[in-house]
Amino acid sequence: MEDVVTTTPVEGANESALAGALERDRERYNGRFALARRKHRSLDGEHFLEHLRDVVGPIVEAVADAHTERVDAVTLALYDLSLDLMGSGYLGRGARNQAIPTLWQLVLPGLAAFMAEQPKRVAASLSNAAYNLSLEPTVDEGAWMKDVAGLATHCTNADDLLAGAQVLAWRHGMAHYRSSAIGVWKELSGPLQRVTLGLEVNLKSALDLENPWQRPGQSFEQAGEQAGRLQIVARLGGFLGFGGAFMTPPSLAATADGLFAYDEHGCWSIHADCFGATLQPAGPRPPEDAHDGSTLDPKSWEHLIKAHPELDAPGQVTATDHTLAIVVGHSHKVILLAEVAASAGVET
Amino acid sequence: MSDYSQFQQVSQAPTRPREEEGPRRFDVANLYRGPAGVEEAGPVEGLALDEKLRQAYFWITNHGIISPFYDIEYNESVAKSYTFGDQKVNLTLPSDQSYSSYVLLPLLNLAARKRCLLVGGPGRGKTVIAILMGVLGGYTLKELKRGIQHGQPQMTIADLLGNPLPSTLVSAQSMADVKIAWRQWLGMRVKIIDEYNRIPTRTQSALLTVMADDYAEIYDQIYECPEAAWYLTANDDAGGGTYQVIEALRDRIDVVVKALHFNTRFLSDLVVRIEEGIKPEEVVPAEIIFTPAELDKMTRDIRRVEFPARLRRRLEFFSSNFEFYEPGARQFEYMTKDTVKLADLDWHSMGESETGKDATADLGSQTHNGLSVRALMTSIFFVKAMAYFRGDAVVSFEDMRQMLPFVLHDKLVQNADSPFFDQVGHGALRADRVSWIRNLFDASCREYDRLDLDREDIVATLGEQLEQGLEGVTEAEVRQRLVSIERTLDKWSKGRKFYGHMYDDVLKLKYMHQRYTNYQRWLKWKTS
Repeated sequence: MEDVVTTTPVEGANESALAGALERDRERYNGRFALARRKHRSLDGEHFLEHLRDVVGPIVEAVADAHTERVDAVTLALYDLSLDLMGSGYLGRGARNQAIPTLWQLVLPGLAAFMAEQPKRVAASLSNAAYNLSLEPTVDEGAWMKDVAGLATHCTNADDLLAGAQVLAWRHGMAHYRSSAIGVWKELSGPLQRVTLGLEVNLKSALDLENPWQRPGQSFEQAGEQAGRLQIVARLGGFLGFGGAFMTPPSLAATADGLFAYDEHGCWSIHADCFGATLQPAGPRPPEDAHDGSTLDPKSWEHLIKAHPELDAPGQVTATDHTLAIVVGHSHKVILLAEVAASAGVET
Repeated sequence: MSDYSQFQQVSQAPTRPREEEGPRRFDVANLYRGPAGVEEAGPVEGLALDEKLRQAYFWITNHGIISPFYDIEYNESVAKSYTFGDQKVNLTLPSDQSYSSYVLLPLLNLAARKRCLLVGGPGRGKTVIAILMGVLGGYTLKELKRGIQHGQPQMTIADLLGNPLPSTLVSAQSMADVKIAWRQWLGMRVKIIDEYNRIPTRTQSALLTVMADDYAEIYDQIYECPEAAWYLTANDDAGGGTYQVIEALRDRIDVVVKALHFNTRFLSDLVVRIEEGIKPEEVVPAEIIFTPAELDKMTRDIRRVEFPARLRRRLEFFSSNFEFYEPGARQFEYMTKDTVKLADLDWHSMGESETGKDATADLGSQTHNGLSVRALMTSIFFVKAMAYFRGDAVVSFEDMRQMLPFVLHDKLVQNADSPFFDQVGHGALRADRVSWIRNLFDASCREYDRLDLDREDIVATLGEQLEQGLEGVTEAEVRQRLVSIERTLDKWSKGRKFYGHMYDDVLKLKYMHQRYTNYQRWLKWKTS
């Protein structure tokens, strides 16, 4: 069985912090690689070394700059995590998804203090988050990563960082997390609250957060000409064959809690707010207490159709307090409309 | 990280995810769940025992025994199926979590503390799975290896149970003074008897006492054994072997599990086993090993699983098909297959072909016996155990349908000469008894539905009336009820072919009639 860590120095990593850590515990690291190869037969020694040098190396170097005593712990955590993720195809050459490799290369080196504190938890949690964001078609995980990197200077510990990253995930479009993310946000320190949402907890922010279409901290002027008007805020779904959610044009249903779109193959819950919109699997059919949407009568909705010609076809409509959902014609998309609201007050 | 860690990964809970009741809540904490493991693996405090049982199941199928089969099939929606071969056999792709009988049934047996017979050719892993069950029951490999009783032609009762201490034999004034060095395995709560059909008949009798009554006896000394899960292995399930297995011992077997064949497409897994040099029984993770208290609790929890009346009724109907044998007697109560068996008569001499009934439709014609009380009680227990394993508080129809064939495998004696088996496609059911019994159950349910017994069951209605008690029932009402019973019997006696399921109904009507008659006599005496 090949040894991945040999007495020959890792090329390009001569006397690096990583090389030192690997050398100090060479047998152990080689044993772990051998064990992982039994589970993941596709693990290649050369590719793994390449990953250690090019991806893990910079992170360990960053940790070594300020936390030399934590180099071994960080190396071990990242080594084991790399074996698992690479073996499962989430890291390394030919990774099935670029979110985790990008995070490791562009974000983790900048989070050295937090990596030193809780290397496995920080690396694994943020890797999972990046992956989960990448699965949502309407979410830009790259923008999220950039903001998470920017959080570092405002956080004092790993708990703060991870909590802040959760709020940022919601800010970047994970609308289904709105309710619980607001709960997390309220527990953050004042500065972190400002960094993640642009305002701090007070009465005005409480009002801001009641309406999902009211951008927190945004003034009437900032809302622009569209403020107060019903406008298209999201288009969700699409044909399954083109990467969408629906095999056939969906039908709509609503409960007191939310909106649903479904076809004969499954049901999806609709989540939307000023930061984004997502569809989430909701079982084979809508909840029992859901009522079906009504038929869209073009005459009743003349003004709306005039403003949005794509709505000019028979379809179905349903709504919650703040959001209107419409399906039209033979489209596989669900169109969401809402009034973009102004803030009840302005935070300065 | 130990060398065995890759074999000791336990499936994460929940192992049987369910649709959440009520609106689904989205927790931003789930953002951090994904392909990268965040928490350290380890025992989860407060894990429900049925979840632990399922984790044990999945550990065994993933790392313990190579048994990539799903012959216990559950479906939550219509399952796709494909037909193969000249016999037009269906392959079904189950749409819900399904299981391998070879792993599941020994595990249920551990939880239910019953007696499981593992049958199959040599080298198919029968002893290994029994040992795995012992390890899950908390025993070390050393204890188990010491405790396994290996059937062989020279095995004596003393070999099985123990020997008197020579010093006490010499000095004893009476049998009561003889002290016995009992064999340690008698005190174990997982008992393994390897190749039980190689035990001499005389020693089988001693084994029977231990299996049936949980005690061992030698020289008038008694050893009370704790309740245990039993695993017996044999190469032959027909009761043959070096010695014929005595019927009473065979009857004590609660469930029969066949060792399924090895699927050669999984040969690579065997290669890994050889290369690792690791035996699964040596690397069972601690988090799926049950304590005695947990095993006790599981057995109690299984008993508490609800058995709905509507399903119980179907089991009653199914069971009622088999005992009745019209040519067997002239007294109604004795018209059973047991009467013929006890008379040691040949079935063919009884003129069973002259009843006029359609032998292909008469389910009773397919068996030589009915179901005993013991068989019925075991069936109910395993059906509950199956529901418990799936995390359900109530038995489902499919739990019953899947478990009955394994429990009744050796309980229902097949009449291979029944014309049913001569029909096209039924010949294989002579050998495949699991499918045969499932077919019997399905046919019984179809007949139950045809008779619309869920809605119209006069015997059940009259029975419920009687169960409410006789307190306060007037003589007029009693007379009315007696007339109802007599009218029903009169109606049934005219012109219908008399099938097995009617037999118990008629006898119950007679029972109710007698109860009311006695009560009526008492009422008359009271008022006179």
